[in-house]
Amino acid sequence: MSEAATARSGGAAWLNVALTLLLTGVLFNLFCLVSGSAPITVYRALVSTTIASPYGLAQLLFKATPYLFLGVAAALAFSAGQFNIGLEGQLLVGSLAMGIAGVMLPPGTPGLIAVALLCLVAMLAGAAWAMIPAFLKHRFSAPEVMTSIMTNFIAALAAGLLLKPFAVSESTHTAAVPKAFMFAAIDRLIPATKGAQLSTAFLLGLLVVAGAHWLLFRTRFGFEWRAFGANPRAARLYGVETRRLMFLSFAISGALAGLAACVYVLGAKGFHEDGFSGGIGFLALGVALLAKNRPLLVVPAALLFGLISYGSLAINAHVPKEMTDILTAVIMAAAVITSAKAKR
Amino acid sequence: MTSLALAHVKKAFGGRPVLEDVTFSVAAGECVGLCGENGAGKTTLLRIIMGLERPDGGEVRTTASLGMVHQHFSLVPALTVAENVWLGREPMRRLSFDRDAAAAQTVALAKRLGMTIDPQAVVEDLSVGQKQRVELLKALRTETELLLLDEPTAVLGPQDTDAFLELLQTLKSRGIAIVLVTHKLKEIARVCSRAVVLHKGRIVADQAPTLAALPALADAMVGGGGNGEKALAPRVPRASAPSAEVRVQLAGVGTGELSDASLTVRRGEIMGVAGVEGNGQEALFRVIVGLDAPARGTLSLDGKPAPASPAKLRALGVRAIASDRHIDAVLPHMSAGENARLGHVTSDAAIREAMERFDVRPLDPDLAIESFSGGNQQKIMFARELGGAASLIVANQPTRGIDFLARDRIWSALAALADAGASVVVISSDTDELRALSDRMAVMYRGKIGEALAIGEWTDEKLGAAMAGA
Ligand SMILES: Nc1ncnc2c1ncn2[C@@H]1O[C@H](COP(=O)(O)OP(=O)(O)OP(=O)(O)O)[C@@H](O)[C@H]1O
Ligand SMILES: [Mg+2]
Repeated sequence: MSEAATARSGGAAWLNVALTLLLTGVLFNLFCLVSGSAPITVYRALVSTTIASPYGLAQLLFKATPYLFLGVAAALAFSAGQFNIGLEGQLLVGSLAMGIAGVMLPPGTPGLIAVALLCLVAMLAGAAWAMIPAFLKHRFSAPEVMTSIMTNFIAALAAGLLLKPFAVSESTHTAAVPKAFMFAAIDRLIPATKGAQLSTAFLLGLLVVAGAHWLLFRTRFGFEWRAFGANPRAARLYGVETRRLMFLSFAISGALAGLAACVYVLGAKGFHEDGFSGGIGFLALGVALLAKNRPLLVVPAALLFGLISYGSLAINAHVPKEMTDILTAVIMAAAVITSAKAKR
Repeated sequence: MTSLALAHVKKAFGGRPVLEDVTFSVAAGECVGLCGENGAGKTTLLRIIMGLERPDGGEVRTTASLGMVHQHFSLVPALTVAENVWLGREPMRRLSFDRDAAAAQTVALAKRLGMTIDPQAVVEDLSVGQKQRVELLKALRTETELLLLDEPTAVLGPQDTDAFLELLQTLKSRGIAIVLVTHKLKEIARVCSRAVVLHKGRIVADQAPTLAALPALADAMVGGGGNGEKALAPRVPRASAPSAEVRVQLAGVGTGELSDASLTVRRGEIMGVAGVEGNGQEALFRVIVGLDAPARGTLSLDGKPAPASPAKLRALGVRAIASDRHIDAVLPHMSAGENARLGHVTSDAAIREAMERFDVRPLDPDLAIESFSGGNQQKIMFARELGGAASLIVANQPTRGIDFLARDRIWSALAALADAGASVVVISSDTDELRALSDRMAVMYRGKIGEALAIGEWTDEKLGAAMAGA
């Protein structure tokens, strides 16, 4: 079918990403110069602490992992024309549910079953939380941009309160889940990465990317999903159950945002902790933007965000740490500019 | 004095030639009709003259001030007439938009052109005829000397078309040069002194559009072959008569602009719904295809209450052609093939076949929908919808902006479906279309549907009176 067309515009999307990176590079150099460091020294520091060392590389991939889930969550919602800005809240709710369920589950449960169950719990929690803006949109035509943003703040407050009875005393986190329930850490495989937080959650993230791509571009359901995003009125008239799809797109997006919690609860930390996310649910919107809502492009975009997020720690000595935020903002701006240019 | 001179203009899109060696000129006060098949290059040529597109070769010389009315409305529905007319060129008082000045200037402009219009009216409340007048005012706001009109009458009913053509006569007498694109040769004969025919990007005729010359011009439009008489919208032949069995029944339906609307359509029947646009046709369409549920009254299909859901109705074989494809039918930024997939064709082979059947040009399912000319986009809407079996086809303004051969193909397809037992409802403000196609016809007026009579019983007088509500 439109395979060729998809490929063609796919090419354009890659070009956009390349342009974005180029623009970011230029601006990054300028910032370095302004803050009094030679760009080359900063680059050297960046490279030697990230991709040049096994530990650094593993940390970069670890930082990129949640963006795989969240970036796909955002990209899917956006392709259906639903502006789910509530990923942060859906992630929080998913994490809390996963953390609590993790300590309630009989410790003797076989590992694989436990992981599957806990992932399901997090997905259900994220999806349920995403139903709030979906319902408000359906019932009152309330714009989901507003309502889904609000659910983030409500989630932050509610998760704090709900955590209390389950928190380990004198702390703001749940008890650790049994080791058997957790993803395999990278240092078990590659000793040189000792201490790195990367786990097999990364592979699950890649699986989510592949699954989303398959769904969106290889199935009738995915086609209807994109048609709904392209022109909801046409989709409805020509037989797409748009109401169902609206709820479903929020549910699936929310479920994937909730699932992202596994990176921490079943990977890096082993428990749910208040404030663990640091706003990645918001930054992930940028990942989707950079990836032009294409699941496969979420991978490079997530890696870039991972690089910025871990690399900024590495180059702290050379440039101020606010650099991260500035750079993220620059990338987003560049992504918007290059995609606007491509539209013309 | 020459207002427009084109010499050897050339243009290609992605290696595909669209215009070749186009040479003609237009004098001040002259109206030239530009016609040709869908995809012949008419819009592209106007865009080149307007400076919106760069020619690959040749020369374009124009007067300093030109204006264009585009193939699709470019008005902002929520703004007033005056605001729309002056959008982008707003009269200012210090730093703010001077609404009073805008209104006054709109009235003055309209008066000079012999029109009356309320500058404070909100555009979304206007009829299509009035909207088209606002477009015209907008194109004429800058002492325009050369006016480019891309199918301005395609959306208009007969009365609005008459009024619009009258206006063009006034403009001509004021020395404005006009290029009028239309698929209706009769309109060219009425207001133009010359007809320029484009075929596959080349000029194949440039002559006076006398009534006697029209069949030859029509023939030139489609590249010869003696098909010219189809331009006169002859009655579409049918293989079988409608059965007595009722398929669709509206009884006292009221929603939106519909009030107490009743209509029955039989199996194998083509029911024409005439009327000046804005008398509830859109509401009628929405109810029959399941977008709106009747607030009062009932809609039944084959004797059973019809579900108010397009998806469920489609499963029962209901097909829809929406009047405004940009709002209700096209998937923007997706390929023709993906657009076709939204309808009833699913396999790659079927998509190609359907496009071929309706002679979509270019025959390339991978091309983005925006790369097709307006008429070809509409053909794609038919190609995707009229595949496979159908029980009821509701077509709202189906052949707007479609050239006469393609129109004939679409009419034949609808007739074939009716012959096979499907019911067809054609809602149109084009009475020629309804006369060519319908078995029976009813007229809509203020949300009500009048009595449906056999098409032969509708004399012009009777039809005119019914459309005026008499
Ligand atoms: N942006 C574009 N990219 C690629 N091809 C284009 C583009 N715009 C127009 N074309 C092609 O140029 C040809 C001429 O198109 P144009 O819109 O000028 O036709 P037209 O004569 O106005 O037809 P219609 O009567 O259907 O409006 C068509 O084959 C169309 O597919
Ligand atoms: Mg055109």
